[in-house]
Amino acid sequence: MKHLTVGVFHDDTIGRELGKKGTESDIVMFNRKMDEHIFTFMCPVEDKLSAKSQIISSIDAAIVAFTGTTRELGETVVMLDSLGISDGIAVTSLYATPDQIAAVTKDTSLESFIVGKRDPIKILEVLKGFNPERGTNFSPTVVVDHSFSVRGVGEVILGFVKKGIVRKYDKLTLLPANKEVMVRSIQIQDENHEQAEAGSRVGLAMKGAPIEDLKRGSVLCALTALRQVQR
Amino acid sequence: MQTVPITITEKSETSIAIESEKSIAYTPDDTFLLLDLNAKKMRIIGKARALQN
Repeated sequence: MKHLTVGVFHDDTIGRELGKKGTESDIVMFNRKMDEHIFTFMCPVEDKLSAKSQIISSIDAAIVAFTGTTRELGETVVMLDSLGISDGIAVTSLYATPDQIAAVTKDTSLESFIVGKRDPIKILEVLKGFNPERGTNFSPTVVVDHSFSVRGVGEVILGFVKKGIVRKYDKLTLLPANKEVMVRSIQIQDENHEQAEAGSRVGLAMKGAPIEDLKRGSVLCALTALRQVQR
Repeated sequence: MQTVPITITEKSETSIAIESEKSIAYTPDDTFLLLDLNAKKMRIIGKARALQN
């Protein structure tokens, strides 16, 4: 299966046209399984900055609706450019023609975005063509974006495998809590799996750390894969 | 991405030094986004890569 994680910005309704609603917090997830593709769409609620930065650090591609010249849109362009997101779709509107969008995205990573109308079917076709590089040869790194306790299961995190392959019963280091944890089980799209490769959106049942340590932004990695500092 | 409060303790033309009460986990190729959540206009101050820890 090919996994693609896509941020959706400045259009509150297109997410539900692209996928089925999943996790909802200050980030709303929409999921779609289509042929050999699994798409995860992440939408920030009310353009909250911390949600937007979390999304932009997790995604492979972006859909940006150019619905007006606003501070929030400018921030989105700057953040996407800062993190080098160059695969994406710029959606035109009455307020933004392709020429106007080109003027805003000039000399940024968004310059390579495909510009098109708000058509979910065409958007999905374009997304199928994106093939982000996956670092499966690295030691596993999982970035946490949600966590909760499940009765009978224990602590569960939702997040993305950024690098490598995470396997059931792997012993990993949780940072910044700096604790050794074990992966008890792995779910992808609500199905149990023995392993998950880079790019996968996963639910991991964890052993070895309380829920307070499994906060958003926490990272699970092989020991010494990451640096941790406090200065 | 972790979002943690930081203080800028030193500034030069090409680098800044930051301090945080909370630990930050990162890889050498990670990008840091500097945000000012109280700013009335653009809330993004800049971006940076770690030079040393």
